Amino acid sequence: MRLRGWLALAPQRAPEGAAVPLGASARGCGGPAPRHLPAPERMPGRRWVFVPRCVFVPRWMLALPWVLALTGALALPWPGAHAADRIEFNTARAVPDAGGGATRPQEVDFATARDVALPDNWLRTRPDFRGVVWYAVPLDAALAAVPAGAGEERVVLVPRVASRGEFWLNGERLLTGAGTGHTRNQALWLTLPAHSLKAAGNVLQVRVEGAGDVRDGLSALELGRAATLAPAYQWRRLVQTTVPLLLLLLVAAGGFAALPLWLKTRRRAHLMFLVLCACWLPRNAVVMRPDAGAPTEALLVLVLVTSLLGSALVGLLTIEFLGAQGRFWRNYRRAILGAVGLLSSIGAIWALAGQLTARTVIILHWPLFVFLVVALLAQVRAAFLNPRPLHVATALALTAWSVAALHDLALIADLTAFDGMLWTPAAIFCVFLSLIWRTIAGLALARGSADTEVNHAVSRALDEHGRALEQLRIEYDRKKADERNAVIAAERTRLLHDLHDGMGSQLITALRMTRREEVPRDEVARVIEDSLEDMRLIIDSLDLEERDLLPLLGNLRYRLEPRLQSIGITLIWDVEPLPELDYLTPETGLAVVRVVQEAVNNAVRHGGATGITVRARATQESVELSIADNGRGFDPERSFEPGASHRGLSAMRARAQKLGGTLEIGSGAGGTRVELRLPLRR
Amino acid sequence: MAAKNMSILTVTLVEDDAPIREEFAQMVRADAGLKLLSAVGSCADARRSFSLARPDVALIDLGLPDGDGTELIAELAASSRHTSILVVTVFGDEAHVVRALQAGAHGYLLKDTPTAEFGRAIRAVCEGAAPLSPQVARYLLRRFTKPVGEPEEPRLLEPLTAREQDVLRAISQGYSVPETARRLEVAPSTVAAHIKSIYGKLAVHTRVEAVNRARAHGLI
Repeated sequence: MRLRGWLALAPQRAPEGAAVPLGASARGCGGPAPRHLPAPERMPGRRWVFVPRCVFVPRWMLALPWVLALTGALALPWPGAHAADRIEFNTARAVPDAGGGATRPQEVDFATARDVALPDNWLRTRPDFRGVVWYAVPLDAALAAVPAGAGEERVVLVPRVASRGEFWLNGERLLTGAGTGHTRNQALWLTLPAHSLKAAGNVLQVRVEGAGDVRDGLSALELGRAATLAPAYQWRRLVQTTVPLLLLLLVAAGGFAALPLWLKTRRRAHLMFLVLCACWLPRNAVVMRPDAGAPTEALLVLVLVTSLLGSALVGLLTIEFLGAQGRFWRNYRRAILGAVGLLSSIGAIWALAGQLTARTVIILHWPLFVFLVVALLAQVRAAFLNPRPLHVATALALTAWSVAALHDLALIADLTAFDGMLWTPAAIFCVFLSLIWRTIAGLALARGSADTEVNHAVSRALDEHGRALEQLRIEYDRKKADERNAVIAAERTRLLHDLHDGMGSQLITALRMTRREEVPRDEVARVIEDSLEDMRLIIDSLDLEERDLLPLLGNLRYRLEPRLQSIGITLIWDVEPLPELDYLTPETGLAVVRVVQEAVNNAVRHGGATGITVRARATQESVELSIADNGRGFDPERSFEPGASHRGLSAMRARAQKLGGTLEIGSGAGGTRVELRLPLRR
Repeated sequence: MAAKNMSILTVTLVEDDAPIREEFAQMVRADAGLKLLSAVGSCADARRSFSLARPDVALIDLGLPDGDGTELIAELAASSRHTSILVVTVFGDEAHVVRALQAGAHGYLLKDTPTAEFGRAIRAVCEGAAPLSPQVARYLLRRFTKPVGEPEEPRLLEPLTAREQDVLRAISQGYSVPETARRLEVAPSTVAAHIKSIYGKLAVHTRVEAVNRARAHGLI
C-alpha cells in the first residue's frame, strides 16, 4: 500500500509488480555488469532513482558517497602531523642482544652501540634477526626545546614498537600500560616523571624484543606536552585497540545471538553468520592475545583458517543477502570455498615446514581478495540499482574493507610507513555492523512473511465467514424476494380483477355498442371514457404516497373537474388535512376513490345538480368524507330505479364495508348527500 | 403579452403513433389560433425540424422509437427558451409527468383531450399556466423537503421557498390554482409563477448536460 503513495511521485517507475522482495533474483536486467550479478528490486526502464522516499536524484549522484569516502580517507588531516612543540627523534643508538640476556639497561653496554635511524624497521635493517635490541635515545635537546609547562608533564609517544617494548628513563622503568604483553599493534604513552629527570644527560632506554622477518622494530619517537600529543595517541588507540576490542565483543555477542537464531530458523544465511562469528572470535582473540612472543605455528594455522573462512563468509553472506542465484554464483560459492580450502592447506603445509609466520598468513589472504571484490561489485551494483540505506551502507562497508585490506596487505608487504596502522579491524567492524543490520532486516522480512501467512490464514477464515454470510444474505434476499413476489402476485391478482371487472367489461360493452348501428357514437365514447377514467384511477392509486388520502382524492378532482366544468357543474372543494390511514394501500385507496367517484357520477347523471361539494374532515377516530349535491334527490331505501345506479349504490356500500367503514346516503328535496366514514386504524 | 395572445402560435408535433399524430394535427389545423409547423414521428426527425424552425409550442411523446422524448425535451428547452413544451401522455401519471418536468417540460396534455379543450390547454400553458396534479405536487413536496434516501442526487436540488411549499401543499390537497391563490391571498398568476419556479428547480440539474447534448446535436 505504501508503494502506491510514492508510485504517484514516480511516474517513470515500473508498476507495482516490479517491486521484487529482498532476495529475489535478477531477471531481464542488462547492462555492462556480469549477467549473473544480482539486481534485487530492479525497476526496468527507470532513469531516476529514489533515495529518501520523496527526493529524486540522478543515478550518477550515487557515486558521491564513494567518492567522498575515498577522498575523505586520503585527504583527512591524520593526527600525528608534526608541530612546533613536539620533537621527533630520528636517530638512536642501538645494541643488538640476540640472546636477550640483559633485562635492565644498566646491564647493557651502550658503548658498543651504533647510531641507527628511526624508525628502525628490522625487516630492512636486520631481516634475519630474532631477539632483543637495546636502544638509547638522548632526550636533552628535545627537553630543552619543549620546556615543561605549569603542571603539565612531558610525554613520549611511541607509535609503534614491535613485537614488545620496554622503556626506562635514566635507568628507571617507565610504565607503558601494556603489562607484559606484546605491543605490536599498540601505541605507547610514556609520561616522563619530573622527579626522574636530571639537569643533563637524560636518556630514554628501550628494549625491543622481536623478529626481523615479521617487520618488527621501533618507530620514530615523539616528545611533547601531553596535550599536544594526546590526539595522535587517542586516534591510534581508537583504531588499534578500542575498535578491535569492540569488534571482539560484538562478534562474541553476534555469535551468541546467531546460534539460537539459526537453531530456530535453520536458514542458510543465519548458519553462515553463526560460522562467521565462530571464525572471527578466535581469530581476533589470537591477534589481540596479551602474551608476548611470536605465536606458535598451531595458533597461526588457526588464525589463517578462521580468517580465510571468515573473509569468504563475508563474501558469501553478501551475495546470500542479495539473493544472487544462477550458475555464476553457484560457481562463485564453490570457488571461494575451494580457495579457502586450498589456501588453508598451503598454510598448513608451510606450518609443517616451519615457514608459516604472521606475515605469510596475511600474504595467503591475497588470492581471496579477488573473490571478495566480486561480491563487493555485486553489492555496489545493488546499491546503485536500489539505493536503500541498507544496501548503500553495506556497499560502503565492503568498499572500506577492501580499501583497508589493500592498505594492510601493502603494510605487511612493507610498502607503507613503518608505523602505519592496520585498518582492517575498523573496516571489519563496519562490515560486521552491516551484516548484523542485514540479518535483522532479513528477520524483519521473515517476520513480515510470517505476518503475511497469518494474514492469509485470517483472510481465508474471513473468506469462509464471508461465504457463510453471503449464503445467509442470499437466503434472506430469496425470502425477501419471495415475500415481495407474494405481494406482487396479490397486487397482480387485484389489478387483473380490476381490469377484468372494470376496463375489460367496459371495453367489451363499447365494442358491442359499435357493432350495433343504432347506438349513438356519443354513448360509445362515454363508455370508453369511463374505461379510461377507471384506468386512471387505478394508476393514481398506484402512485399513492405515504398513506395520505388527500392527494389521491385531489387527483380524482383534478381529472373530473374539466368534464364537470364543461357540463356546467361547479365542484366545491372543502377539505382539511387528514391524518394518515394506516391501512391505506393502492387497493384500499382505489376503493375510497371509487366510492367518491361513484357518488359524483350519480350526482351528475341522475341528480340534475349544478353544484357538488366534496368535504373531508378528520375526527378523533375517523375520517369523514361527504359528497353532497344540490340535485333532485332520490329515495335511497327504495330500489325502484333499475340499472347502473342501483348497482352503483350497493357497490359503494360493499366497498365501504370492506374498508371497515360505514356509508350513509341521505337524499331529499335539497339534494343527495353521501357520507363515507373511515376508521383511522383497522 | 397581449400582442402575443393575438398572434398565431406555431406548433410542432412529435408523436410516433400515426393515428394520434393525425388526430392532433387535425385539431391544430382546426384551431384558428394555431399553425402546424410539422408533425414528426421520431427524435431524429424532430431534431431536423427543430434545427429548421423553433416552434412556439412543441407537443412531445415520451416513448419514441429512436430515443427517449425527455432527451429531446431537454435539448429543446436548452436551445429554445421561448418554446412551450408539453408532454403528451395517456394517463398523466406521476412517473411520466415528473420525468417530463425534470427534462424541462412546461406541462402535459392527455392524449384523450377533447378538441374543445385542446387549444385552450395549449394556450393556457403558453400564457404562463402551470398545470400540476395533486399527486405530483405531493411527490414534489416530498422530493424537495425530504431528500434523504432519494435515489437522485438531492444536493442538486435548490431548496423550495416557504411560499413554494405552501403552494405545493395546497395543490396536493386537491385545491385548484385559483383556490390556492385565494387561500394564500395572492393572485392566481403568482401561484402559477411559483409552480413554474418549482418546475425550474426540478429541471435545473439536467440543464447543463442538456445544453451539452443540444450543442452536440447542433441545436445551439
